[in-house]
Amino acid sequence: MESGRKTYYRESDPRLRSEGGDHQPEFPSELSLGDGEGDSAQFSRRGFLAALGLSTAAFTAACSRSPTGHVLPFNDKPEELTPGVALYYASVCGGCNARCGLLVKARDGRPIKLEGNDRHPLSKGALCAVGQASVLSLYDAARSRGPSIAGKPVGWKEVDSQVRAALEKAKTSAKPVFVVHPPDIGPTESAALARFAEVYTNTKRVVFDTSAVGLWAQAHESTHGSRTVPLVKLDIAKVVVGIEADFLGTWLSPVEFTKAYSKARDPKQGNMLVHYQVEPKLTLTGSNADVRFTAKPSDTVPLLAAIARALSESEPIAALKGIRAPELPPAKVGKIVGALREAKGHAVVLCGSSDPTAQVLTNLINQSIGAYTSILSIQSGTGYPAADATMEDLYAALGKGDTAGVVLWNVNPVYAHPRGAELKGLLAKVDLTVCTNDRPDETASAVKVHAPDHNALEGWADTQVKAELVSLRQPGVQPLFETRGAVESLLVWAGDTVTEEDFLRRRWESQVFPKAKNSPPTFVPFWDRALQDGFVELAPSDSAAPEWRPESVEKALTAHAANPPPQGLELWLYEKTGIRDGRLANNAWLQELPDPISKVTWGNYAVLSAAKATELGIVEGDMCTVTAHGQSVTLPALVEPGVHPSVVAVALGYGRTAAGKNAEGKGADVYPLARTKEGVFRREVEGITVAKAAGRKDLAKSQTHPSQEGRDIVRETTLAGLAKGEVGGHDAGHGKRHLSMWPDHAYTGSKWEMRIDLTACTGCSACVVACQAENNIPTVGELEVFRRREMHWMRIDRYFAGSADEPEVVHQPMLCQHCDNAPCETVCPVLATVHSSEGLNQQVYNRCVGTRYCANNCPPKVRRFNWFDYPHEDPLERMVLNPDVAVRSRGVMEKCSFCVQRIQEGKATAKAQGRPAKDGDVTPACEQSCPAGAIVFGNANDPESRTAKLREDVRNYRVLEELNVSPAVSYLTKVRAESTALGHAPAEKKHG
Amino acid sequence: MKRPASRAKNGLAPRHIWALGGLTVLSVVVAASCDSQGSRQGYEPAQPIAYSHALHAGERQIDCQYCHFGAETSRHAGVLPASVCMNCHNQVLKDSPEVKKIAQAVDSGKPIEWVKVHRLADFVYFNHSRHVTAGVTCQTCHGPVETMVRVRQVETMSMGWCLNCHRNPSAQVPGGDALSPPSDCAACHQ
Repeated sequence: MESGRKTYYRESDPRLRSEGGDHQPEFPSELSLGDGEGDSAQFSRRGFLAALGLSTAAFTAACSRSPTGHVLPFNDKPEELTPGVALYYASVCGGCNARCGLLVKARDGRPIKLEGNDRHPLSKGALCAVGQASVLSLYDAARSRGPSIAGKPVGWKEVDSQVRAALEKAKTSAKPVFVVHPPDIGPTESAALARFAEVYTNTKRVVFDTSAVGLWAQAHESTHGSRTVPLVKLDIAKVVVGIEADFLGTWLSPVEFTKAYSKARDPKQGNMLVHYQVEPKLTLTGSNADVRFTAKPSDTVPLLAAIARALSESEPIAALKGIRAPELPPAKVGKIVGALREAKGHAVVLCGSSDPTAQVLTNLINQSIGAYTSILSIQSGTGYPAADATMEDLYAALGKGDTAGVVLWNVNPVYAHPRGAELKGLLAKVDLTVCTNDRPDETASAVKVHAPDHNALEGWADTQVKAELVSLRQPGVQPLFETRGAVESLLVWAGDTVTEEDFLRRRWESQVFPKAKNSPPTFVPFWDRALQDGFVELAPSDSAAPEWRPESVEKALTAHAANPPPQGLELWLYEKTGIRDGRLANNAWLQELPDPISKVTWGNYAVLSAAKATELGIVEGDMCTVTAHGQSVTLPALVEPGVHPSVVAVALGYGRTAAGKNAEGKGADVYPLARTKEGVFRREVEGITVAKAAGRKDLAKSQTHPSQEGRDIVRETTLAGLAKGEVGGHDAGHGKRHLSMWPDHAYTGSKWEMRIDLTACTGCSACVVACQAENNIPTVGELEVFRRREMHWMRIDRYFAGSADEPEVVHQPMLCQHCDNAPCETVCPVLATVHSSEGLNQQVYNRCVGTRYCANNCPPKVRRFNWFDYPHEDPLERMVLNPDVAVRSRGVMEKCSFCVQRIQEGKATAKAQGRPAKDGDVTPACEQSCPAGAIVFGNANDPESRTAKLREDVRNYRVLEELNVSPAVSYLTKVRAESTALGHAPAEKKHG
Repeated sequence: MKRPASRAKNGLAPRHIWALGGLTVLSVVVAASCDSQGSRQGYEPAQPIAYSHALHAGERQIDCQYCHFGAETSRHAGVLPASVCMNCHNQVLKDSPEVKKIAQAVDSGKPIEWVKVHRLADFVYFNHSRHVTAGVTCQTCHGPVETMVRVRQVETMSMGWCLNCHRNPSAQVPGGDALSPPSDCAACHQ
C-alpha cells in the first residue's frame, strides 16, 4: 500500500468488460486494411495498363508549366473588407439553447471560425465543442437551397400567396392553426409570433421541448410563481449536488457552468467547490465529481424526498411522508445531506430529471438550504414562454381532423417526438402544413410547404439570455441560398412586409433601448455599440424576489403515489457532448468527436454495466435489442464502469434518416423508446427488456488502451494532500536535469510552452473541435477511426480508477509535446520535422515523404498520417477552410503546430506596433476555446508570462520525464476536493 | 462481422502501389530534366487588358499602394477594384478600347480576370504586410515594375532566394539586421 497512488484500470480489466468479452486490443492482429476491391497483391494486366497510361500522362504533364492562375478583384470593394484580413462580428451561437456570445471570424466574406466573445458576461470568451463545430453546419451541403411546395422548388412569392390564402381560409373555418416552436425563443421571435397570433386569432402556440430545462422553469412557476430558469452563480458555491444533471456537458448552459465551476475549484484558493453527483450512467459531469454515486433514474424522486426530509427535520413536511425510501444506501444519502447542511447558504442542487415532481423537490431542497438567497436568482433568470397547448393537444386535434394548419417553426418532432412516425401520417391530412427547418429533414419532408430559415450565422435574432442581459445575433455572411428568416416568414404571412433586420431593429429601438443600462442618449450609437459588443445589459428591475409557495410541494406530490421500487431494467436516454439532441447530426466534426467517457465516434450504443452484461451473456460489440412499451431498437452494446446494474443508457440524437449523408446510418434512433406523460417528454423509462440479438458491430473508438502501464502519465492528489505537499507521482525528483547526448537549444528569443491544468480540465472536448476548425483537420469516417487513423491533433485521454460502480476519472488533453530532445526529429530521413529557434517542433509538409518513422518514435503518439486525401465532396464544404493553414495531402505526416499561424500573427502585430510580444498576444485555438481555462500558452522566456510562473508551481510535471525528451508541454497535477480511490488502493504494479 | 462504413474515397490497392512507385521515379526524372525547379522566372503572360505599369507607375508616378491597397495591411497586396480605375478613366481616355473593357466590367458586374504573374506554391505562406512594413521595397521581389509595359517575373521566387534575404537582410533593407527575419521552416510553411 502506497499512499497517494491510485490503481488505474488495466487492459482487460474486469470492470471494463463482461465475462467472455475482450477489450478491443490496442494493436489488433486481424485489423483488415483491405481496399474493398479484393486484396490481391498481384499485378494484373489491367493494373499494368492503368499504370502505363498514368505514367505516360505524367510524363506529358510534368514538362508543362503549372496552371495559369487568375486574380478576380472586386468591381466595387466594400469599404471594410480587405482581402486576406479577417473581420470579427459579435454574434450569438446557434449550436444549442445556451446561446453563448461569440465572435464570427470571417475571411473574405465567409465565416471560417467561431470564437467565444470575451466581453460576454456569461460565456466569457469560451465556446463548447458544439459551438465550435456549428460553423461547419453553415456549409452543410444537405441544406435546402430555397423554398419548396410538395417537394418542388418554387419562389418565395408562390409560397407566400399559398400560405396566406390557406391561413385566411383557416381563419374563417374557426379551426385552430398550431404553431409549434422550440422552448428557447428570443424576444423578437416572441414578438413575431405574437403578431402572427394577433392577425390569425385561431393560432395556438405549442412548445416542443425534449430537454428538461423547460421543466425547471415550469417547476418554478408552481413553487415561486415565475416561469423562469434561475441564474445559477456556481462560482460562489461551496457544494454542488448534481442529480441526473450533466451541467458541464449538455445541461442548460455548460460553458457558463464550466467557467464558474473551474473558478470555484481553483486549488490555489485553499478551498474547493465540492461536487457530488448522482446519476445512472457516467456523464462528463459525473466524471469530474469528487463524490459520485450511481442510482437508477426511478430513485431520483425518492432520493430528493429523502434529502428534503432530512433537511426539514425540525418542521416536517407532511407530503414527503408518502414517498418511499430511496434504494441508495442511507450512508450515501447521509453524506449528501451532511454536505448540504454544512454548506447551507453556499450549496445548490441541480437536477436534470425529466420528472416534474423531481424538479419541484429540487426547488424545495434549494429553498431549505437557502440557495435562492445566494446561488440561485429567479429575478435574474431566463423566462420561458408558456404555451397555449401541449403536443398531446396537437396530436388529439390532428386525430380528430380538427386542425386547419400546422406551422412547424424550427422544430423536428417527426424525428424527435416519441410518436413522430404517427405525426408524419397525421400531417398528411391537414390542408396547410409549413416547416421552416434548414433542410428537408424528417419533418420538413413530411409537410407541404417548406420555407427554410437562414443558418444562425446568416440571420438576425436576439435572445434574452438572462433577465438583465439581451444578446444580439448579427449575420457573419450573406445568406448562401434562397432562404429567408423564420421571423420574416411569419411576419409576411401575417401581412407585414418587413425584413427580419428592420423588425428587430425597430423592436430594439422601442423596447430594449429605453431599458438598457448606461446607454448613450440616442439610439444609433446605442445600436452600433450593441452590434460591436453582441449584447446589452439592462437596468436591473426592482421587483421583489418571488415568494416560496409551500403548498406547491403538496400539489406536486399528490400525483406521486407511494409506489414500490420498480423491478427490472430501466432505460436512461442521455445526450452525448457532441451530437446532443441530434439537431446538428450531419456535422462530421461532431460525429467524429469521441465521447468523453466511451471514446466512441460516429454512433450510439447501449451502455451496460459489466455485471448486467455478464448476466445477459452480452459482450462489447454484440448487437442487442432494447424493448420499451412495445417499441424495439437494436444497437451494439458497450460495457462501461459507473453504470447502475439495472440501467441501460442510450444516447439520443442518432439514427437520423433525412439529415444528410454524414448522419445517415449512424447509430439508432431511440426517440421512439422515450415517452410523453402529461405533455412532458420523459427520458427515463421503466420496465424495459434487453436481449442479445444476432450479429456484432465493432465500435469505432479513439482510445482502446485504458492503461498507463504503471507510469505516472496523470498525477492526482487531494486538496488535503496538496496542503501536505503531496503532488502525486512516485519519482520525487521529477523535473531534475538529466544528462543528454544532444547539445541544448539556445532559445535566445521566445520559447513557446504550454501548461495544462488537469484540475481545471473537465474533458469537454471544446479544444478538440476548436483545433480541428482552426487547422483544417479532416474527418476520416467511422471505418478509418476504427483502423486507428483519426486525424485529431488534440485528443483527450481518459483513465479510470476505483470501483466499477463508482469510478474516478481523469481526462488528459494530449497533443504534440514539442520536445526539446524530440525523438521524431532524429529519425526523419528527409528533415521534414525539425526544431525551430523558438522551441517548436515543426512539421514541413512539403518535405515529408511519409516514412512514418517519426510517428513510430513518438512517445505520446500524437502524430497523424494522411492515409488518404480527404476531399470535401461538395465545393461548399471547402469554404470553411482556414486559408492561413496548408491543406495536407495524402502521404504526409501532420500534428499540432502550437497554432504557428497564430504565433506568427501575434508576433507580427506586436512588431507592427513597435513593441515586444507580450503574454496573451498569442492564443492557440485550444486555449481560446477552453471554458475551464485549463490551457495556458506563452513565452516561457518571459519571466512575467503565466507559463513561466506556472512552471514554478509545485504541481507542474511533464509526462514521461524518464525518457528525457524534455517536452514544452507540462501538466499540473489533478487536485480533487475528496477522493475515495486515492490512498486506499495498492499501487499499480510496474512492468516493463 | 459488420464493419463501420468508410468516408475515404480513394482506397489504394497493392497493385496501384507498384504503379505509383514507377510513376514517382519517372516523374522525378522528367521534372528534373525539363524545368528548373518549377521556377517561373521570366514568365510574362498577356493580360485581359493591355495595362502598362511603365505608364502608370513609371511615367505618371502613381504610388504602388494606390492600386495594391492591401500591401501594407494584408497578406495579399490586392488588385484594385475596377471602380477605382474609373475614378480617373471616366474622364481620361474614356473612348480607348481597353478602358471600355473596364467600364464594361463595372457595368456588367463581371470582374476582370487578371492573370497571376507571381505565384507561390499552396504550401507556402507569404504575407505582403510583414515585408512592406519592414521596409522591403516592392522592386526587391518584383523587379523594376515601373519600367515594364507588361509585368514579368524577374526573380526565381524559390525558397533559396527567399532565404538569401532572410539570412542576410541588411543586403536588401538598410538596417535590416535589426529586423531579425525568421529562418524557421514554420515561418513560411504553416
